[in-house]
Amino acid sequence: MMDDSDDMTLRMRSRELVQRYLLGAAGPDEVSELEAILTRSRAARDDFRRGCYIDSALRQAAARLSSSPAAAPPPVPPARRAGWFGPWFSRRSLASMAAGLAVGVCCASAVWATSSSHETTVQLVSAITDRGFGPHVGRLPRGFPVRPEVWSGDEAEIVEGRTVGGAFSPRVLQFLEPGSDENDPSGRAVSCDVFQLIDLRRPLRSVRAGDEVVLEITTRFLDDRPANSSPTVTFIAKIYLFAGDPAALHRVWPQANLEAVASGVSEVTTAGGEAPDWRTVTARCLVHRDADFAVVQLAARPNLRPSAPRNLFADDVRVAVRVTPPLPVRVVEN
Amino acid sequence: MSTPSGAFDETQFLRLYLRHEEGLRAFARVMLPTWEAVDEVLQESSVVMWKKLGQLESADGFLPWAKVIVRFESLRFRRRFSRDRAVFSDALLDLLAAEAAEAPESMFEQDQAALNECLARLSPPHRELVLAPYAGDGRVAMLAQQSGRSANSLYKMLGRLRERLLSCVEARLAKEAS
Repeated sequence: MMDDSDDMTLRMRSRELVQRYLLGAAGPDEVSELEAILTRSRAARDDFRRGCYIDSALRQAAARLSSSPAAAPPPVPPARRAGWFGPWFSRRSLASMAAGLAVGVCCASAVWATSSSHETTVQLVSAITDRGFGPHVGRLPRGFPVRPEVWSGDEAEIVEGRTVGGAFSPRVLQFLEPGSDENDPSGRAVSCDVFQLIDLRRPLRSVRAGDEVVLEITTRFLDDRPANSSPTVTFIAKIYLFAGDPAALHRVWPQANLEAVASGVSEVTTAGGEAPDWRTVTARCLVHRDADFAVVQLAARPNLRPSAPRNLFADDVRVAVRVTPPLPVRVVEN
Repeated sequence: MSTPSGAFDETQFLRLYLRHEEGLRAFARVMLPTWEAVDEVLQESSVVMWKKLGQLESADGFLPWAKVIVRFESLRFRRRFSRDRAVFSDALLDLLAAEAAEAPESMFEQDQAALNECLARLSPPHRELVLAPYAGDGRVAMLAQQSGRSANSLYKMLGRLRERLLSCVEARLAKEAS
């Protein structure tokens, strides 16, 4: 017969296992142990359900913060460790950076800018002069890109100018049709995705051990449909970092996204509007020392399928590497 | 997309769906081992709901009706995981789903409100860590490497923080109930 202390111990163990399960950290033995507890205990199942609800609420809270950079909590101050380019990215550093550093990602070039005399350096990757989608209009190549600096993906088109909110954009990307992946024939067309490969080896050549390096993509999306249009559409900007040869990735995409050494994502959901305006999103990703190249992904995902809403656009893509040297240390002798 | 015959048009359906979407997502989480699976099931469920909208008789009946669809789609979907992941048995998932379907509709909203208050009481570094699993693939592992700790120890710390949040939520709800 179990006494109160046994009950308490079992409940504590159950709650610990629930958290490990929800974090995806539980091994098969732990899942079996949790299953046995849940099967015989109603209280444990209630705890599990509440754990799931809290997990959902946390995910919502994280989504709210990611769509509101100004409200983002300060970063965890980690211990520095040799071998990494740097620790968690520093808001202080980002806040001190020079404004107005904009690039698109069609033509390959690299520009350095310094935001202050001793702090963050911003390296713009793959610059384009008009902050848009290059000089040519027309359909993008289909399929995952086979070489750097070229956009390709699902059915999408670069179209001539658009005036929104009084501002004119000479060329913008229009998402046309969700598509499935070539290497996953049974996969469904969930979203309209376009990709570009960015070789990071050259931009990262001058980074020193101990520097904090963050890759950042900022872009803006436009849902130019009437207010309360359905379905809602989620626009996504995502960065993946990989080691290896960028030209080989198209053969193993999307399965290879599990092999990314790091990634960052940001998204915004819209339903049109009476006075549609561009929505800016920014995704950031700490650069791992093993990273050779990045994949940037822009996507428009209708939230009710099948559907292919029109009048969805992207523009003004900026990709930057932000480098912050470690703070200097002074030794003071008494 | 054409409108199914019945009492609700596309706009009304969308309003109902959006109003209950997060509650349905939390309900699906009880049955599914990953958030990717939850998102996929919600997508599929929304298509099924749209096709079967003619069955829905009143707005009040939306959530129980939608939960039946989400439950069915979740159980169907989770079979994909049965070979390659440590997942619960069908019998346990049935039990969890049945009890979650019977839980009061307000439970998720109450938990959510309490969680937001408790989250605000965490120190900024702890809050950042607690939200890290949702901020991008591999973020926790990355944090572990950056801090020089093993991923396992960081997950343990995360687990303890989440348990602390859970206790805080329970305490707040108990206080409100008394």
